[in-house]
Amino acid sequence: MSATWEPREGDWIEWLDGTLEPQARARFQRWLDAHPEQARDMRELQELEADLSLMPLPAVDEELMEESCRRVMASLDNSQPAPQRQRATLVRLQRWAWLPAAAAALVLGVVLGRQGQLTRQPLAAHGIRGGATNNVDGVVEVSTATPSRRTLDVQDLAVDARSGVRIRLQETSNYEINGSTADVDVQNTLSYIVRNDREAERRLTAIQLLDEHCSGDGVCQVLIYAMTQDPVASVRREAALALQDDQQDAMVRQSFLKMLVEDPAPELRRLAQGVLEEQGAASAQAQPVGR
Amino acid sequence: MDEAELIRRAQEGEHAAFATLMGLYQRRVMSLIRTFIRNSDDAADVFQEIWLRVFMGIKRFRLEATFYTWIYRITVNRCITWHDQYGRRGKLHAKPMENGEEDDDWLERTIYLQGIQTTEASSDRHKAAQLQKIWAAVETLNPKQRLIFSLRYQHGLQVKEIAEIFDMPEGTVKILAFRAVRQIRDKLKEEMA
Repeated sequence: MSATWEPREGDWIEWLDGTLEPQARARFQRWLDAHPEQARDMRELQELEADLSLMPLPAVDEELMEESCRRVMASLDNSQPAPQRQRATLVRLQRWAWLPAAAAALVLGVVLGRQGQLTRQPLAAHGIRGGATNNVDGVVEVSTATPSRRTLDVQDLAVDARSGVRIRLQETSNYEINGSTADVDVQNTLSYIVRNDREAERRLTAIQLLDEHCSGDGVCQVLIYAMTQDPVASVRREAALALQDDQQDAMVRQSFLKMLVEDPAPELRRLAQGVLEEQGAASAQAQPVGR
Repeated sequence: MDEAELIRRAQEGEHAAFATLMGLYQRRVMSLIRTFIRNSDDAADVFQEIWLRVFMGIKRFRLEATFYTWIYRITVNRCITWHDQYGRRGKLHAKPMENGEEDDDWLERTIYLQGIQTTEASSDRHKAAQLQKIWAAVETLNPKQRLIFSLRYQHGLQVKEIAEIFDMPEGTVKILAFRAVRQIRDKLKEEMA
């Protein structure tokens, strides 16, 4: 044995669980004989291991466990496959349908800009609060929707079916926004409506618009909020439908699990189960590993 | 009916078969959760979520794999996620939530159920006190080590099985378990000093 030999952590482990090779074991024993302090250390570990192997399993609250099992089974018994998505309230647009129109608007903007026809005017000129405006062919475009204003109360919210890329949000007084849903401020306004508007119908419509035209983590978070927190079942349902294709996102999966367990509406619990099962099947196809 | 048949039926959507499977493993799952989560409401939530995950995933489970290690894996993953979400913010040892019951008596109950009468023979009293000290030291382990500790010493799993659950080499499990034991020993020494 080399005078400088020191056991590695692995030697200690194999010594303790008795898997050290006889030759290595003998060498380790000689080392322990030469190092009484380490030998005492080893004895302590051995004794502790013996004590630990007698550690009982934590006592389980039987009542709590039985109740939890009943809840799990009740969730499963109340569940059926998710219904097919239904959208009749709005004209459905392809997710990227706004691209050609946006490109055309950009070209138009450049051309008009070069000709000096675009003018920035104060909002007050149009009786509009907040943000900058461009007046082109009589269309007022407002680029800032001041979504943080807590008094926002949108009376009218609709997709312009003709262009498919503009939304109009009109407040009781003189607040109007005509903007592209690609505009982050408009997305923020829609998100604000989903979180704060008193009217369920408007929250629902804002969810549909976000789903149709917007994307990104922020949108996803707003939809998760609506799906799990909105007091109205139809709004939660709309948000869930908007999210059902985003199952690869862990937070979305978590939200569907939450809906499955906690949502007071049986219909929504069934929807959540269907979505989760569907996702499970898709994963199985994509990744044929059994566990 | 054997376990494989129960699994097959559960995979076909038979809820009664799934309930029987849950009955077979519910205690192990809840025990592992309880080594980790003191709050009874949180523990119940996590328990339900785990079984819903088992139900969702059972169709993908391959019968040649070991069912209980698969359930343990789901449980371990959920416990670690729970710790990442809440435990680090102090909830692990924090006061109960609105409706939750912070169960500080579970160790006493465990000791009682093990037949260790703390009021009788002095050797038993010593044993109970020793268990409490050990558990206090266990609670200082990091989440992964604590789970490995529990699976190895309380649930009696082999290193190979734990390695499968954590998807890590057996050598790594041995090292983590050894370090956990050494850390517990050091804490006990500190206590004695």
